[in-house]
Amino acid sequence: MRTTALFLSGALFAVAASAAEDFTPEQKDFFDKKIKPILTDKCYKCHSNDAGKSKGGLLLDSREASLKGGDTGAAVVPGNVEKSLLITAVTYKDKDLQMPPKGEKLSDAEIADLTQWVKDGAADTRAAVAKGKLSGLTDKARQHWAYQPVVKPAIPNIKNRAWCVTPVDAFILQKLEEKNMVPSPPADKEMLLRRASFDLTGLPPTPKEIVDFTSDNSPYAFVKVVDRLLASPHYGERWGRFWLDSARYSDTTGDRLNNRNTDYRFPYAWTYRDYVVRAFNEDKPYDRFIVEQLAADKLTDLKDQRDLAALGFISVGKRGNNVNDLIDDRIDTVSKGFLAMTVACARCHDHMFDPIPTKDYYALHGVFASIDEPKDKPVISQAGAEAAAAFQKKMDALEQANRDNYYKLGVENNADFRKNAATYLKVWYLTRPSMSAEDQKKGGDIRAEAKLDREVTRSVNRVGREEAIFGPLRNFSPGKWGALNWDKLNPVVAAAFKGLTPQNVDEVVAVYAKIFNGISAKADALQKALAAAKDSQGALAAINPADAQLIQFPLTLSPAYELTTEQIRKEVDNWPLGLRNRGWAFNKINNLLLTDSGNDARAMVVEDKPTPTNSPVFIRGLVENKGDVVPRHFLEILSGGKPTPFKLGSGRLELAQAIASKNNPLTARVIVNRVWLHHFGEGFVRTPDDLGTQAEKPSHPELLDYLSSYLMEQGWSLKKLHRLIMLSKVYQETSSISDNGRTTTATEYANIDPDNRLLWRANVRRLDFEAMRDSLLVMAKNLDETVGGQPVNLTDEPYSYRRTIYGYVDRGNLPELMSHFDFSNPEAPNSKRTTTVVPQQALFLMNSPMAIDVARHILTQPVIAQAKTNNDRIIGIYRIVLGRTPSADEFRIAYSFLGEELRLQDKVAAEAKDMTEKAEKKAEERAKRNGNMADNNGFAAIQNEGATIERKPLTAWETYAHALLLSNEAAYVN
Amino acid sequence: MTPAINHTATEKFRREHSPSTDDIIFTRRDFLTRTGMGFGALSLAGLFGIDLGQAVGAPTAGPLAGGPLAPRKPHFPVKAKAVIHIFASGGPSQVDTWDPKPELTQYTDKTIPGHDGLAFGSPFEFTKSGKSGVEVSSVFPQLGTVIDEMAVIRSLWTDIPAHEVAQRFMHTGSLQLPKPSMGSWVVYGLGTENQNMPGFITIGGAPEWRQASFLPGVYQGCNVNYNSKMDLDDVIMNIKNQFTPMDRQRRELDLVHKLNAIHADKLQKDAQLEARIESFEMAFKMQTEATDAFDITKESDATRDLYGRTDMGSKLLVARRLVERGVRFVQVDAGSWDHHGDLAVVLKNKAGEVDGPAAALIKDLKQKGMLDSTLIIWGGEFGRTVTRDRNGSAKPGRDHNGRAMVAWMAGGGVKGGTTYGSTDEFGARAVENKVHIHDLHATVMALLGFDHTKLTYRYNGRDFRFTDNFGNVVKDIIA
Repeated sequence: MRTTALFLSGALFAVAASAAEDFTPEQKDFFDKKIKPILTDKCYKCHSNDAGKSKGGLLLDSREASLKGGDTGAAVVPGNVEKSLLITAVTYKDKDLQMPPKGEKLSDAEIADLTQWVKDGAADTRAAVAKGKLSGLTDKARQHWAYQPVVKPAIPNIKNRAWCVTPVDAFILQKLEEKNMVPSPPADKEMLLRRASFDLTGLPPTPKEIVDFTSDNSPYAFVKVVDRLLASPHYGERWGRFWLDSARYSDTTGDRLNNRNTDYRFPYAWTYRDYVVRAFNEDKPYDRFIVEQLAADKLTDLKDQRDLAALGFISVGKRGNNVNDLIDDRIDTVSKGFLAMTVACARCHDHMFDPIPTKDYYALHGVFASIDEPKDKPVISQAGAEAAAAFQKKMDALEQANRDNYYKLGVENNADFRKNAATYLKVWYLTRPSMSAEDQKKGGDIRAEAKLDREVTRSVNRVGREEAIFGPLRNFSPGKWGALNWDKLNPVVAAAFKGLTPQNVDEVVAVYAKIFNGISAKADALQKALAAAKDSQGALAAINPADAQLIQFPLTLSPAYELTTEQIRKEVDNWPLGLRNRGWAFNKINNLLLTDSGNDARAMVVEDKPTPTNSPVFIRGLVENKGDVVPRHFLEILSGGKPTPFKLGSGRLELAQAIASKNNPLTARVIVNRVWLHHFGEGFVRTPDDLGTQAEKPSHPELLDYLSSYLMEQGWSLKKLHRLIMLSKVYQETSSISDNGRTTTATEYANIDPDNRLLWRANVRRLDFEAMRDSLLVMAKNLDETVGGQPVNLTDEPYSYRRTIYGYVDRGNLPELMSHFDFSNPEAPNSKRTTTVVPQQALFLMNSPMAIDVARHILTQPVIAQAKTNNDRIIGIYRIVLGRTPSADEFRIAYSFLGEELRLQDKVAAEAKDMTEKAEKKAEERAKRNGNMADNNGFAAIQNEGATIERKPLTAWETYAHALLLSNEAAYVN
Repeated sequence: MTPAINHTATEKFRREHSPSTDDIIFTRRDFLTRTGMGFGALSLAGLFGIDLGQAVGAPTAGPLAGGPLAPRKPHFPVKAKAVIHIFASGGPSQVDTWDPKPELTQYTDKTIPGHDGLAFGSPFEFTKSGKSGVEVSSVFPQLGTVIDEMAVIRSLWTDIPAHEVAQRFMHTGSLQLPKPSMGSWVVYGLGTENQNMPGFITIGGAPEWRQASFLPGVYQGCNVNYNSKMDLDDVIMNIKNQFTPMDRQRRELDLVHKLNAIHADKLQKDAQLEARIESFEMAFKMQTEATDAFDITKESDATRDLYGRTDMGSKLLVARRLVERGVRFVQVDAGSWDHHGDLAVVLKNKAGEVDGPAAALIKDLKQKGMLDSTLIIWGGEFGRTVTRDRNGSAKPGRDHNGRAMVAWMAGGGVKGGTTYGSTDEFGARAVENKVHIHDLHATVMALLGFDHTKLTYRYNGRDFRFTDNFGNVVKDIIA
């Protein structure tokens, strides 16, 4: 183990040491232990690359720099103490050269160490800096393919013209022919239909659609299918969801620390999600889609109010307590989402690989620093009158409950203080930081003995700020009033103390006890009046201000007409901690806004601040380390020269237009690459959020450019792009390698192109979480086809039958089920899902009530329930689950399984009896538990309404259908 | 001895760590002192041309060889194969547990220089224990008997003494951004030994403490809300079929395999399709094996008594059963140590909960020959003040303190009977051989055979590692 440890450290530091000259271990050790800490602690502040400063032209963060020195000469001359200006400076011998500056002179020991070090040859272990610094600001990086204009390439000449249907095919075939490969034969119709259906709608074909397509022998049969699928409202749900991955969509802030200062959940993020779905369904031109998401509020030709929700692209990101992180999230999302550029890397330094200077980052920083979110979000669609009325009633009740709680806690707190004013004030007096340790302890003991309320005690510390009331206590010293300003005192207090010269603090607090006791009756009246004050015309004037000031201590209560939810939140935030978390309805209000259909839909808009500002570069990312101010502008590398500063407000619209431009080399390529990814399993470039210099070269650069040009020529219509791709032969290839005796060829091809980058066959692709869950709902005929709306809980019983895209996405705590199935991490743009295989996925399909319920429902469908023969029943199940007819082998296996299970059914049922009874009981308990979750802290998932799934054993036939659900084929698209 | 490296040196650290916390935590002077150093030796391995492609977990688009959970060798051969992390959430007081400070006791109820409020000497006695003579608090009588197996770190420190932030930091090495948890990194690096069980199991705790974050979901901790009274069927989500008896389910899965064989027949051999078939077998076996692992009634009375028939006793016994079955990383939430008041009573009770079971775990593992291969870690998210909690009280407690905290490790190649580092005379802040949380993480990774700078995962355009750009291995506690 010892050797290991040494080796470890060796590996760590070998590199650093290699840059140093040959020094003895002792010398190096001396440097590391004694010298380096002095340099880093005392000198680097002003003389290092790290700090971004080289005062007097001097850097001390490498040996070379120290030897070279600054404006006045070499800082270190090895072996020569006299000539080393560093030593001159630290010894303060020269009155014009004294470092570190006054007041921070090094200790004698430190000076001695430095002197010794120079004398011994100034050994150094630091790596050479500057030289190895990586930078993307090079011509080579600027010449990277992705930054060059898109030029539509000519369609290549290929040998086998007959195979090609579209230009896409020619590009694909060209690469195959280069390797002497031929594409695979077409997929059979059932396979193709299933593929196309999942690709465009995320849903399996219905049995009727299968029959329609397989019996349609016209040459346009597949064209009809593609057009039908593109016209389906489910298309937007599928492709909208892909976009939401790129837009890091979530229904929550993810900020679990916020201590109720804001709501944890976004009540209206879903309106952005619905906007995205609608945009895809309407085939909104992609350039327009971009502009709306960045600047819908700036557009003069916005026809549909609902398009304002597009701005959710900016606002549905994660929140914390740091505005620069918020801006960073937005820069990251814009640059990755639209441009597949990692601009966020340039927050602290110029990008190490791509031509993105830090200036560019802060040019965008200024854009997002110049926007705000208005408090009142615009209504984009109103709820029905009846639902709205019901909602308002519930909301009124919650708001009233909040106000009631406000007065209850506030009144109790103040009353408790008045009742025990003497003790509270004495404890406050004794435990002030300025008091002696003994007094403090005494104060603590009194507090404990009197069992003073913790929250009142906390709120009493306001004493220090209320000179008008507590002047006499604060200025008290035995026998005299010191600096007390009688004129500024509350008249009631002044009158009470007039003429008294208390000798000890007990006498002082006794006077206060009397004062506060004396106003108790009036306090009740005032507090009642406040709570009843529904409008500003209320009877608050009856109380004289001097009394009111006393009554409103320690907590100042506002009249009811001012108490909006936001106002209460703001006030309560200054209340003592224990009261901030007691009995409030904030989370219930948030929950109601998010889940009640009577709530109007609102857009999460942003708006420009009245005065837009430019941001300075934060050197090395540090807010306090400000560099040059950068005008707001677009990325230099994409500006075709020096970028022009934005002029309109924050510059969002100009930013949007620069991105959504045909001259932008990335915009079209990025979306084309992603569309290709979702049709073929991989994009031309396999990192869809990074097409920079670190990404691989595209597998088919010319085709990528051809399709990008095509997209732009076709008015940025994504539906036209899908159509072109899907009607190509390459899309329709089979994934099978055994068709037409091609097994040998396939083995050979697999050696040449194991990843199938050349697309000599179709890829087998796993269904993602959405397609998996949605397909189960379709098989069960349970799918609720409603498009859009507030989010639902996907993972808990009672289950929702909404499509998965409508599930509640909690960035702060993604449900286990979703992460087990590789749901996109909504922290940052993530356009490509991982596909892990874990047993929890299997357990879900094997054992979850939801999957079991699906198996049952398959058997109740008319095509199965009314089937005359077992054959028909098996065919029906195959069509529902796998979208095809079973083979002879599969019939045989089915009969063998079913024969056995039908024979054993009674035995199984008997075995299952205990099990299901127990399960039934548990399900009830769980439902009860979930019901109690309503009173949560605002972090829990929302709850659906509905029934739990019946716990009873599956029949033989149901088990058979269930088995098909578990099969690989059901989880993949061939 | 390599120089203590200042983690706070890089701008990245400051960016991530400083916002909104400067004024609460650091005086300006502290801050400058902490941030004065360059980051030369700490730069990314890539900067120095280390070939990340050679590292375990090199950036890769495809699945890891042998599947993401297949057992893998670390960078260096070591003894530790599994980890049991006993997390004392809440922030245990260092001066009452593992860092005796007689000087502090002398000042009790007096003010001490540089501190607000009154000094609060530990109400507990410390006794030199074991052959090593390490001082052990009277609240840990049982652990005192195994002190020669333990290494106590007395100079640990963290950045921000607020529970949620510090807990996230302890588990993920990140204060704000969601990053993968320790267990996720370990299983990502080592895979797991038992393909019928999840590789990373947590018994309680917050989701963040087990998150895979940007690592593939397979590395996420599988949480089990275990308690000794719970129904074993509820330990893992969907672990029990409520609808089909086992033997029929077996026949059903056999049918599924036949269907899968027909499906695979026509296709290119595909690792993922095969892995999926395996995953169903694993899931099937997990139904019995996982529940069996949690069934401590299968242990002898002697063993159960050794651990104690308490909640913590059962949890640590389960932890041992899990590790025995090849689970790579087990994390047990053993909170809550947030003792603001009445510390003399409540800390003792809290310590009493874990003392016997933890000592039993060490003895039991040793007796089974598993101690060398199992690393046990105990510690919380920060330490506590050496003064009374601010408001003063007849029954004092302590407030949060990030500048000094303790942790101990045992087994897994740790040098037993040692203490490492020290705090100032009052125990208020780590001063000698300071160990930052990133250093602790680096050390855990080293004990498991990893160069923490080389275990990386490519995400969002760059290579990430558990220790970010920081971390020094504390070699002196490695045997």
